[in-house]
Amino acid sequence: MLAVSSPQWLVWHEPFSQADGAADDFFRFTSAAARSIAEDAKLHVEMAQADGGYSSVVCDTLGLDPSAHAACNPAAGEPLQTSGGFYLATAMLARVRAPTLGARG
Amino acid sequence: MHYASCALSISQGLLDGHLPWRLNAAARGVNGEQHVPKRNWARGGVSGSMSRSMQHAFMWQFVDGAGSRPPRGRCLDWDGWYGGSIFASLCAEVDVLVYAEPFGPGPTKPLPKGSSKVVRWWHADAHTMSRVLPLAAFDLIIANSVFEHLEKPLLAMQQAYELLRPGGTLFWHTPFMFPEHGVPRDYFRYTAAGARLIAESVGLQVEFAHADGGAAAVIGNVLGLSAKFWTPEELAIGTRAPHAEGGAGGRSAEALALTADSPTLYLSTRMIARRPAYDKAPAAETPVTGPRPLGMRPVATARNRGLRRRGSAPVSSNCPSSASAAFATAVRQAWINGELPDGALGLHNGASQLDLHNGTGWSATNREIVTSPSTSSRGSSIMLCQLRAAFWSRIADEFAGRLASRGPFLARRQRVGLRCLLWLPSKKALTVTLTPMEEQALSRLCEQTDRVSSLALSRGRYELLLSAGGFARSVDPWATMRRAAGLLEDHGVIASDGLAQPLMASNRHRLLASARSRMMP
Repeated sequence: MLAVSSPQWLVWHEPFSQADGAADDFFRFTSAAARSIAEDAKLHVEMAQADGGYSSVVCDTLGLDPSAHAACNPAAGEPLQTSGGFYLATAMLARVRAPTLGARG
Repeated sequence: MHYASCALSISQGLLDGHLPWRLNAAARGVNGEQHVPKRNWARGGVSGSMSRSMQHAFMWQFVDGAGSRPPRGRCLDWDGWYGGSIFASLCAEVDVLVYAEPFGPGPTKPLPKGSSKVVRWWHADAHTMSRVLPLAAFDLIIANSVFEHLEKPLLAMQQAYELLRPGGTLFWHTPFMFPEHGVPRDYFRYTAAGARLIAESVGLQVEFAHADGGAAAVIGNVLGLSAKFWTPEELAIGTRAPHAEGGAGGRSAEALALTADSPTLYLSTRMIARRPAYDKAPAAETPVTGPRPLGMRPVATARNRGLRRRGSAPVSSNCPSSASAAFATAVRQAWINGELPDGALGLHNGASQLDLHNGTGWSATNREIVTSPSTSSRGSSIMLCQLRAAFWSRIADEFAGRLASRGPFLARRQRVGLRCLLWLPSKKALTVTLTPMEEQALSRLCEQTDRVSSLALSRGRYELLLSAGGFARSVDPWATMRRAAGLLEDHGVIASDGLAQPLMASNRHRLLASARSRMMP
């Protein structure tokens, strides 16, 4: 529960199917990678999922104006099964694990 | 306008569910189109899969350019598709790696494609394969569409280093702007800089690493226009549509394909790296900008003429239905004519027409996508900003709901009111105003928000850390995540306990310097 034990949170939102051309741009992460990296750092992952499905990728890639094309409204959480594996970003909510008794003692 | 009609067709196709992202299946047999096999190993062959076509073209380029290197050596191949086929002239012996248990030598059987004099099968995990396979034994490791599936790519890369004979070569190809696919898990995408980063981190010398398959390949793949709708030269144009280069005649297809300058749309990443040969003098520092040709044969000049110049062909005023093969032709022609934008982060500068604060981010009058300098410096398109704001809002809703469940007093709180740290991917990004949607979502979550471009510069206690593209630019996402966790726990950076992290940490300064030097003109 929020604030019951003063947990701290990581709200992760990283691009997936997008490049910005920067020389220091290195990686893209699927939700599995995001979860793996967070758990490697001992964080507890509450959710990790694709964000913005096939429509978002098409509109972003082609630069379709979302104000002019209803199809371009970001469909958050569009299931991978219906997006053909295309998605624009990876979203994750993770939190610091509550310390166990004696863990720091 | 042609682009507008195409855009409408695409948009309507999305709404109706008629836009096939695998149009090649729908288009077979339409308008006399011939069936194209999904995989085509033949030299110059076109595969139905856009990505396969790019992979095979790169393989043939490598084989043709390799000459006597490696001299009919021993090759390690994942799943055995290529060691006995495209690479047959280079591989006298093929060792096939399959992920299966128990680890060790696998049952003897022929290769799934092609043949080889000596074939050995191994069951191993790429992260620990040096425990099973012979060390320093391979002249060539073929890692085609492998590394995106590895949970610990640095570990696997180090294993590849151990297996390569000194002077041996790693052939690498991974998808980039490509859908998630299982087999059984899919973890990472690598920019060219990312591929170089992990190879150099384990001591490999990178001969080159760059984008493969440019705007046409990405647009085609997204819309489901298979490779058969494009010429190889069009697919290979690495960074921008011909119009962005002042016409296809401005630069050769090969030059465009090998260009490493700020690609914004590309389908795959390809790399050739080599284990240093210790019996020779150390190689000169690899240039950090520009391609190294690797002895590849140049693309025939005559083939370059396959590119059409802008406006060289008549364009229909209407875009056909997105469910027809004619649609593919129309989209391709629009791309050739420069009527399709090369991505939401393209270089068209129309900021004066951009109404960022209305949340659209696109010009209503300019058919070309316009990109605000501010959004491009943030490394996020407006679409991505919208998604991010929506995600933050969902988190705010979730947190508010949890508060409400704890009693009427907390339920009256309109804001979650956390102390937040917003991590933006660059110093430039710090100067950029968030979109109104982002600001609104952020205000619901955070009572106080500090912004940083580097977690290393962060001090203080925070309850919520929001990443907005920073991990994509981290040279070591694992260590960065530990730092993030440490910040949140307020007891400093957690010491790394994995093998990959010290590897990265030891090279960080050099890698950062290398990355920065590539940013210089």
